[in-house]
Amino acid sequence: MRQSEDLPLDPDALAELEAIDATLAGEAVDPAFAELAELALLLAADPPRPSAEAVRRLDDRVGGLRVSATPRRRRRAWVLRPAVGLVGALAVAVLVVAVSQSGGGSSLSSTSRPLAAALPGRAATHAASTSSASSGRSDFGPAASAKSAASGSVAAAPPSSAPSVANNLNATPSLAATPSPVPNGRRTIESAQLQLLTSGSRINAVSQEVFDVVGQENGIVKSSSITAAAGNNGFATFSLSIPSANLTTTMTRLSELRYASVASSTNSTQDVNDQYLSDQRALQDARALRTSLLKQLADAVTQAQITSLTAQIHDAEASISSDEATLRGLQDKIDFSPLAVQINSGPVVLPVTASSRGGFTLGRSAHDAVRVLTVAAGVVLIALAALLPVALLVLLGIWTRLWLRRRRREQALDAA
Amino acid sequence: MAQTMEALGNDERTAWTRFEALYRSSRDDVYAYVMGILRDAAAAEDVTALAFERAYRRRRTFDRHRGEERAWLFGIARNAALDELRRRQRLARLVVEPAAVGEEDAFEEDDVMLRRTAVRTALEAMSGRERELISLKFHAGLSNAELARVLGVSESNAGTMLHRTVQKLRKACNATV
Repeated sequence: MRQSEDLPLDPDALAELEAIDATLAGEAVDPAFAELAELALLLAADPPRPSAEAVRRLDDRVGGLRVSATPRRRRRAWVLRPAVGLVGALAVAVLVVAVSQSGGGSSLSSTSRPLAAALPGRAATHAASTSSASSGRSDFGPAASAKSAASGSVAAAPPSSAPSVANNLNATPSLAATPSPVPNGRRTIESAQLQLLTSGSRINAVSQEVFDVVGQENGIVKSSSITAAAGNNGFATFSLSIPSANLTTTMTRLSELRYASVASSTNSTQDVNDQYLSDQRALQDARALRTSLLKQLADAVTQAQITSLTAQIHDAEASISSDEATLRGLQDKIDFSPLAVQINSGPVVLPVTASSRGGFTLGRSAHDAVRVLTVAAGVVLIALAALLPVALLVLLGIWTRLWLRRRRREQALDAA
Repeated sequence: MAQTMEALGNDERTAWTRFEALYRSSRDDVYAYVMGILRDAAAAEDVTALAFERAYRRRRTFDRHRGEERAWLFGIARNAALDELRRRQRLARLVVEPAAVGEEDAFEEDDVMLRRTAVRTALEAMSGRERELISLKFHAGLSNAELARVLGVSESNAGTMLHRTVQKLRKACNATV
């Protein structure tokens, strides 16, 4: 017999079923259903009944259920304990991740220990090397290394004979108070190095911000290398040329990027005023010589004089060209300052600003709370995303098992 | 804490009282139904006890909005009986017990005895699914709605199945007599 007929009963069948129900309820039925009623009574009056002995055994067995009820309740409490432990472990994990992601909250942002000590691995090494920039060593790119070496060689000389300055701003998160020589009309060559720190996932975003700042400050990206990698292995290096007039602004803006903090910065200046004046004088002398030679050439009468003066004029013009090139190169160095920027990935130390100094404030607490909640929500979301397919598979397995069991039961009944 | 334990104890006592009432009112009907499927007195007794044990353990899963307690109980008994049927089918073919003839039969009139025998014979010839329907309706006394819930079909479907089974039984009885 199939169970697929889900159609409404026809009136005759319905009447017969109602007659059966009425008979079983002890009510009178239409004489037309007498035979059916008799069959119903015969069936109802002849059910298999358990023997008295079977009834006693059933009563004993079912009565024993009451005795074992209380321990079962206690066992259920034990069953719940792993679930409580799991929820607790999840909560602790969320808290740990939240605290680690927030970098220890506001207490770390106002730390006074050296920044190099707070940086792990490669970043710390870079910070240490830049702290000794006065000796001319740096891990920045080749161009920057050359510049550092040049600046270092001058810095090694006595200050009176070589007026150069190398300012190391190690452990100075903000460049708002970068020391610089007082402008006195002398010509100087400036260079700078900046080391930034960001989280591994934001290398590209911070690099794009660097490009944006350089473009807005009319600078030139001479070379760049950006490596985005998993974990804290990403880094980026930039060799930049910035108009000297915009160098301070550029450094300030780069130190205030949204997702980066300053690990270290180095500013170098080299006074080239004497060299510039010397080159300028050499050029003027060469020009004066050429003018004099041209006058002599105009007064020359013999072929030998003319030939000799022409050769001297050529030499003077070559000297003028050389001096002009030297002066132009020096002027370029004065007008455009090289800036080397390196971005390392690692734990970000938030810059200490005037507003962030101090102890407990409601605003900071609210900020920390929102951050913790955001990270916690993220962790929960990731956990759910990972668990959802597993849960679906488990549900599918349970459903299949139940379906198979039901099917086997029905098959057993059909075979009986 | 003591009050909580006392409340738990009261709840337990109330649950037991209700379960005991269900057991007293349904024991013989469940046995008759299971016997109709298994046709083995010892197995029917064991499965009946097992069904009540399961019902007591799962008493918190009972939802009154989904039907009466008796329908829920017979659903549990059905699963237990079919599990036993499967187990026994794996082991060996069932040996049908001869229908027990009660002592009262000796005092019944010949005509009634004849008809009762005809009904029993016709029932033995029916399939397991048809015997189950007869047991649920006439031995356990379930309504058509309860029958539908136990079998997991719609009420009209249950009515159709029952009507066909009764018609088949009538024909078989008439043919025998």
